[in-house]
Amino acid sequence: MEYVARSTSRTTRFLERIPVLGAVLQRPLGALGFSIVLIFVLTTIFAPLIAPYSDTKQDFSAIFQPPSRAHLLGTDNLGRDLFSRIVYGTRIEMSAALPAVTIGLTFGLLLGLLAGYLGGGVDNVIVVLLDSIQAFPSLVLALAILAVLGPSLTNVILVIGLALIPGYARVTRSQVKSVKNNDYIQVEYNLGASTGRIIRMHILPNIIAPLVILISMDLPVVITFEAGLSFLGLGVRPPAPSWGVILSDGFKFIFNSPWPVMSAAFALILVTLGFTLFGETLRDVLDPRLSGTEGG
Amino acid sequence: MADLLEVKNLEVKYRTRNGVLTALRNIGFSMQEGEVLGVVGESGCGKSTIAGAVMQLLPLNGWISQGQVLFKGHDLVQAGPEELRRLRGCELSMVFQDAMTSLNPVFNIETQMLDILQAHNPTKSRNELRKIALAMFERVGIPDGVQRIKDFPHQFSGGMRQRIMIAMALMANPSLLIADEPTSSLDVTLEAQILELLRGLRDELGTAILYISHDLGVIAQLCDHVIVMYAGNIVERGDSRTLFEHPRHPYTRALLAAHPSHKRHLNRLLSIPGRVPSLKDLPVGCKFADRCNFAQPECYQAEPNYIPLEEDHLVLCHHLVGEIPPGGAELPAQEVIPLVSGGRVIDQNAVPLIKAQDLQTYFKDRVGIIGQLLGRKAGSLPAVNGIDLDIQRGETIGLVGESGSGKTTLGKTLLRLINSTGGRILFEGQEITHLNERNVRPMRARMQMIFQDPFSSLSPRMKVADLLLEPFRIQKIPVDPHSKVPELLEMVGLAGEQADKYAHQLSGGQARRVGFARALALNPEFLVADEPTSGLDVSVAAGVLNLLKDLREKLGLTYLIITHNLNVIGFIADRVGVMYLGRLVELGPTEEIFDHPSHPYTEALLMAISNPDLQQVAERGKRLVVKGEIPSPRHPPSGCPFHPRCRYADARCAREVPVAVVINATHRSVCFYPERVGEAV
Repeated sequence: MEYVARSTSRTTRFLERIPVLGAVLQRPLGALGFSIVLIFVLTTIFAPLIAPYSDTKQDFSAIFQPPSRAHLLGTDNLGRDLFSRIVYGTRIEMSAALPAVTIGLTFGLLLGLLAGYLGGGVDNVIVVLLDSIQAFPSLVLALAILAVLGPSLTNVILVIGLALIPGYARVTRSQVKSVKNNDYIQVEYNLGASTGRIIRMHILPNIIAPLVILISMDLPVVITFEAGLSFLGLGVRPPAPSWGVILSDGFKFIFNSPWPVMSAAFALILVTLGFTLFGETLRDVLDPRLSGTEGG
Repeated sequence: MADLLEVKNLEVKYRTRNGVLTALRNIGFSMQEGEVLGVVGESGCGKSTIAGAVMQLLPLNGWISQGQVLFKGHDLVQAGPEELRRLRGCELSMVFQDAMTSLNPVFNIETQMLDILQAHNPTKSRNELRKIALAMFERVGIPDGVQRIKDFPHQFSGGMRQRIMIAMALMANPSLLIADEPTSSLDVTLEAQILELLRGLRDELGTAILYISHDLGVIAQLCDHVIVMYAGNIVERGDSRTLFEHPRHPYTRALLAAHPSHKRHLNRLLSIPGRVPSLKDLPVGCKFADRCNFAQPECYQAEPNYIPLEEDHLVLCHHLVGEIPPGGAELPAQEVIPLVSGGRVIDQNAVPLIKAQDLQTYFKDRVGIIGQLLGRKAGSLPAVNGIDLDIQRGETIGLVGESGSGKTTLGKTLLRLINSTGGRILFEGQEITHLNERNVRPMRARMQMIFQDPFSSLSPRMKVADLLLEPFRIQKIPVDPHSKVPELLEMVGLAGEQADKYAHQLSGGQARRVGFARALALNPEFLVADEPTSGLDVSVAAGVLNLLKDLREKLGLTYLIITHNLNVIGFIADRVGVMYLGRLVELGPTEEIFDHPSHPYTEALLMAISNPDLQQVAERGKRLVVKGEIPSPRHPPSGCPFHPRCRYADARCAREVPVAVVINATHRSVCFYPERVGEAV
């Protein structure tokens, strides 16, 4: 049987990727991070099955309840079940954070690759562009754009995505610049490899680690940012149970009951912790130089 | 006379992930005042640990578990931190390999020197100290001392920085200087200058020097006594004359035989099979037995004892093999594999495989967007400046010169890895100078390069097997990986199990071999090898050189070998080209270049080589060392670029630029007075 080198290597490469998750799970912190992330992902998908109550149903006979068997995290000023609201809120957060990070990553990666690989004039233009975006504090930028476009979840996603682009572009650009100087890129070039192949096979895999950690650290930031915008009344409109809305509502009645603020804050902390631990372990595992025989 | 330093029964251990490892065992030696003691061995033998133990500067996980380090009768092992602090810098001082990281980049040199002086002379005024610092700064040979002492570390060249380190180490006039590979990262010419400097300072100040090096040539040049280390033991100890004349330990002899030398015309170098055993699984018996050609059954069972020979010559071996001829060049029987290299005929009149005509490569400075707006003009740096070179099929050309002479740029320009600024490149008579990337691509398979840094040229995310299949995937050639990978690995002398490893899991020599295998995968005709042996231990380097030679015979390759090590060139090259500041100053057959150099720069390079032999020991201090350093190509000297450093130069050399003079049909030199070279001045 005759076979082409490339086809076999793809399967081997695919097989090699599967043990990555196993390696993450072997590390205690990685396993913890992955479990937290998994919980949030499952919550996002199965929110209606998990939540015991409706997220918007009001019950004025049971306002400001502390946690109890009936209400795991208590109730808010309108008697809505906080646990159910947090669970449904996860959906909103994920559906805002993932697209926003995707926008930031896609355009950031593209611009960063162009700037880092081509250099010269293209690099200059892109750097000026990134500088101009970053010159605005992201909150001011978001406020300005949302004031023009009007508050909505879609607009929040677009704004956050835009604000994330420079970060990804910069990391990509500096990584590409340093990886490009390695002799193995010259070797490829000298073997007659095309630019596309060099980028796909040799540059992307070598710049992925810092991007992975950036994503894992950006997801909770985006969630917090969205919560912040919603808190200011520029994002998700009440009564939709975004965590920011829960925080904002709870803040007004913090002297009546601390539970709305505490539960939303706890959810934010947990999701930050989970993504950070998962991302850091993933980075270590993805880099063959760091994943020695002995676990971390 | 009492010993200045006496080390008795020293044992050093390290606590690591793999448990407690013994890095040094049963180390004993002594040094007199003003003596230079060389410590030599491959990497991982414990050379630097000795330095750390004497200075009491072991890494945090290391400690002295046994023995004494007596300095002027005081045991440093028992000394408290305050006593050690007073001794260090004052009585004991140290010079490291990397001068850049040893100097603080944010202070100027004077500040850093005064800082040390003040700590040890609290009573003296700042002005007095300033004078001492300046005197030392000028003593180590830095021109314009008064101005330059105010400069910062990055404003000095590597050689200058090493001089500054030596000045700082010797400022307080210590009794003992420990030098850990101080010249390993320098060019031969600078190395020779530093060795002269150290010898001069020793004679002047009477400082004893503990000199650590992997290079036996350097040891022969400088040291009175030598200890040879292997896997944490001293395997041989003696004065250098005895050691280079009658080496008695098989390891010493193997090291000497592995050293390439242009003086010995060998078909093959002796390479020591295997590698230094890892400390975590040291063999039971003699640590060298696995690699020893003379090993007997008992060598594997019991550790040998020291055998004292005449005048403090000590050898750690079970069997002393009979009298060895000088230089230890006798090759053990199983290593001599004669090659059919005599049959190679190179037709100098055929169409050359590669031809360069007046080739120029200039690097343009990058001007930022603000600079462009302000109308700043980009300067340029002529790295390759008018090279004419024909390389015939099957030929090996050696390209030598100091760093900064443009050797690597020339290699890369020939391969079209860097675009030339002017001139022509012809491959088999076809011009490839201005071919666009699409048309060059098929040519690339026929010309390959082996890069200087073996690790940087292997992608860290690919296994060896994938690395070796890359060429075929790129050129879209279907191959069977199950047969091709082992075939390529075998060609470069690697075992099949290496295929599953990542680059960082390989040793330096193995990584280099993988680089060769990849470069050879597509059966290229022309191979540029950039410093193929740099950073390798002699025994490993010998293996790599043998391999290059074998592959040339087997595959009919044409080589351009770039190196600063003339000994390597002498072993492998048919012709040698000498480069200086982007120009080819001399080109001729290897033997002629070595025996009758016709350019003063070639002569200077040849004289700077340190060979590990008795002659070097006997003639030390008598050689002429070229002055100064290679200037920046940005501001080349007027006339002949070499004239400021040339010992034959006269007024004409500073005025006019020389052109190539034909010495004979195959030998040319760019010098006004090629006939003067070699004359005594």
